[in-house]
Amino acid sequence: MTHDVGGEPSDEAIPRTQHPFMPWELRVDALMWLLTDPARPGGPRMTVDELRRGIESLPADDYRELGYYEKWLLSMIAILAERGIVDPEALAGRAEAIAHERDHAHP
Amino acid sequence: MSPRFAPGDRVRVAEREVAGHVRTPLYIRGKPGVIERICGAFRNPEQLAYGEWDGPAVPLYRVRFQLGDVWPSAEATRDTLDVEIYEHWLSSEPFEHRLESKPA
Repeated sequence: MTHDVGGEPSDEAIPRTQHPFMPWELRVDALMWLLTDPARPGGPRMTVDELRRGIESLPADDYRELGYYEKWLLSMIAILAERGIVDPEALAGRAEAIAHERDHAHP
Repeated sequence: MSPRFAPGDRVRVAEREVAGHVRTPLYIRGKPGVIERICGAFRNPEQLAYGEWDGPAVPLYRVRFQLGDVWPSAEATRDTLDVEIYEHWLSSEPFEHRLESKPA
């Protein structure tokens, strides 16, 4: 129950400023809206409740250390993999290829 | 599903431990409160989180708690805290219990 910390004492100050969103964070948000939209052809692909379940199921260290939309993204991948919509291995392969292109780009 | 409780009813949150996704935070389980309003009826998140998207709508309540009942060591024990809780987490609370839990 890593996530359920309401009422637990803490010495950490709560940051009260909002950081500007990175473009990829906005994309993750937009993707979630599309995936849960009941008006999309074929109906919604997942629910916000499943998003929460996926986030709560992250390993404790990930839950504490990852950023808000990083957790969203990992949860979305896990839920869509459960449903057979996304192949996590294919996704990891594609991410690796993109990283390789980025690091070895010709000027 | 018509709501079992009405505004003003005294209730208590179930103490049960549940594995998996629930919307009832740990700190409020087992605590007594009062129905502040009926929020409506919504499908159960405990089903929606596991691919059961067609379950029945469950009444959802806004329940008001006194801080002293939730955290006895709180400074402002008479301050209140509202939490939205689904009906299957609530049971009727007899009036006497309320008197017992009042600060001396």
